Amino acid sequence: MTPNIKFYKIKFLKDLMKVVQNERVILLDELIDNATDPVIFKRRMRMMRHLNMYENQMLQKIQDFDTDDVQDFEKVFVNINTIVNRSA
Amino acid sequence: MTKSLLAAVNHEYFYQLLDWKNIPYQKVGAIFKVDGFEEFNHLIDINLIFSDRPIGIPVDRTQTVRSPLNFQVTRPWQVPTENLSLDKAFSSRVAHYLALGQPINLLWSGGADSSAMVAAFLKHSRTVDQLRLIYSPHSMYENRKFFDHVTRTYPKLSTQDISGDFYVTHELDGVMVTGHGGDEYTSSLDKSFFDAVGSAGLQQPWQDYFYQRTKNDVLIEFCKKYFALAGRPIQTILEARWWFYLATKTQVYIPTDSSFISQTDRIKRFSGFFDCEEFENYIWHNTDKIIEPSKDYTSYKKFLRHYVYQFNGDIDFLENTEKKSSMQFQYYRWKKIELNDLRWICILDDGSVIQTKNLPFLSKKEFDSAYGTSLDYLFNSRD
Repeated sequence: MTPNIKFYKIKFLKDLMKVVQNERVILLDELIDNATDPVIFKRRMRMMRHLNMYENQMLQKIQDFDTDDVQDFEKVFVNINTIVNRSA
Repeated sequence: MTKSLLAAVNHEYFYQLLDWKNIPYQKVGAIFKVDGFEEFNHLIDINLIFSDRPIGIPVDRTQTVRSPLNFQVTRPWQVPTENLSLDKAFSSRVAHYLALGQPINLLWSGGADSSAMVAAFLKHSRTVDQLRLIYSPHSMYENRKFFDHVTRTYPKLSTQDISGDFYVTHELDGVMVTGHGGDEYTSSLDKSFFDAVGSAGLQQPWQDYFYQRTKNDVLIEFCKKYFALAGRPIQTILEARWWFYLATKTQVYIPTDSSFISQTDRIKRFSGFFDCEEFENYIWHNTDKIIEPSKDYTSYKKFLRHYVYQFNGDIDFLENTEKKSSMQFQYYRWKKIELNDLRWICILDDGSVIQTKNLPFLSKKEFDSAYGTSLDYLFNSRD
């Protein structure tokens, strides 16, 4: 029986978007809390921009990914922490 | 002519390749043992003695241990014949870079290694025209006095803060020199190991400690043979650790740390300042300088901080600074790799990158489509 790869792509996408949205909300909250601090404000805006870039990149890759093995979706390392790392 | 692996494989993806090639392996930290490669697996066992979570596959510079992967050894081990002073070693190393006639980017984290590197360049260069100090706000946080001294004493020195968007959007020209090798050539002694073994413990015979940890006589016999290749006595735990990291871990940093410079020939244009014959000559004769006996962890690599002290007179940095891992540039590297889609499965010795187009998503279908069996030569057959 051929696995329904589209199903697993959509499932992965849903999980990814949940994670990204969560990070986005945290960044927005920090932005608001530190609205009068220009350094923190600028850094959080930059991180949000990077998060958007990362999200777009991953959406495209999921769409283009060619596989017959659903287990490939379980072995993906999504390093979103590197994107929103406050030290970077 | 087929190319070899440069040094590291990205373990996040490489386990899947091993599965596809039907190579039986066991994960150990972020590396792996492979069935049928007994001596290579002994190197992993030694790594486990020194680290709870080993990273970076050992690349044996003595070229006596058969590896499951076909690595290029960039600088094969040779027993040193010269006995250089530290300053002479640095002077020779700086001259090597200046002779390249290119901009020299000095990646300064603020730690002892990169500070000693910058001090060496400034001391041994007639002009600063070729030099560019690369730093981040964290570098200054680590060692503000050093930065102030350098910029005040050498006002014509070009400097570049790579924080913010710079490191993401820019690629530096010229060559890049980092403080790498400073750890690997001085036993990579982390504080957790020091605390576990103790200052006095480091001077104890390695055989007792190794047997206590592994109860493995076969491993001990292998170590006797392997340690003899150092060309000098290896008696203590510290010396054993020094030899292991020097002989097998000096290439690990190359692939990821080169991501700040442009892709063209990046492997050739990137190096660790201490990863050289000159410093190796010095430390081979002076392993007693690695850490002062009966002193606490702050004495680790104090000889490098002493070199910096002679440069800028900062007694506080000399006496009170303890080694901390400088993670800032590491965070930058990781973020740049993700954001700019510079992911790789492994890197070959000419700098060419093995990758499929949709990493971090990896499938056998995409890998076979891109490479088929053309990379099978990277995997050695079992003993």
